[in-house]
Amino acid sequence: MPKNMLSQKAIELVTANDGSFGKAKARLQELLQPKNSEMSVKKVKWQPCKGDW
Amino acid sequence: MDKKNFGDLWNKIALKEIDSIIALCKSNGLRTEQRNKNTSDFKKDIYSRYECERASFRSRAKIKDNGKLDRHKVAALFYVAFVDKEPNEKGKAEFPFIVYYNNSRVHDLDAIITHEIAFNVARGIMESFILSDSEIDSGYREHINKNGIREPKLICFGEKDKTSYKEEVLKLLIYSQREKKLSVAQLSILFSSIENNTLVKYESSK
Repeated sequence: MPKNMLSQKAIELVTANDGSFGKAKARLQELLQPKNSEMSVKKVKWQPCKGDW
Repeated sequence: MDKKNFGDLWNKIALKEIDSIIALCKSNGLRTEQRNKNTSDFKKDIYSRYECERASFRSRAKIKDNGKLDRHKVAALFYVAFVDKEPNEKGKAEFPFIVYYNNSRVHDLDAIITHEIAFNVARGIMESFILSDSEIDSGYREHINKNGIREPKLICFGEKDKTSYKEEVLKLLIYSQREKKLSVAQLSILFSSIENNTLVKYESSK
């Protein structure tokens, strides 16, 4: 498993030199939000098999 | 777990993981403080919480007195004991590690580094149990010795998401703790699944 990957990412966000500690904290909060996977969902209509009903 | 065993676990696994993250913080200009500055007291702190969680888990799960806990439950107990927050001198609950950047507190980083250390130690505990159990298939032990416990694939995410299984799991565990729902039972299911993924990979590579 990659070692300390989340900590590394978080530290990079905090120490990014853009002059605003507030922004860094906001970016960190954003990082902590679990990601949602972007699934492409194919719409499949239920197709009842042909037969006697 | 008796004190000696816990001391071994602490010295051989936990301290390495703690040092590795503190070094990472330091190399990026961040200052890290341990809640309990005395390292020996800090270890005692975690041991005492481990024993407390263990007694409570055994009692709630009605595990018989002579029943030993398996490696996934031991790893889960350590995780819960390690990330537990305790009140500081002002009565505010704090993680065991406190991070400063330019003398400002970065509270979210406290959570991230504490959970990442706990996860790494939990993985180390599982690996040590496997390596030291002669009843386990020697091929599997060799595989663990070489590769360690392997991270499962993060299902439904792509390269562009730039994340990993461990990263997403850690975020959810931090969230669970905020909700006060971090559970030894559920963590042991998680660790068991992670090891099972490694076992399946090993079996299919034979």
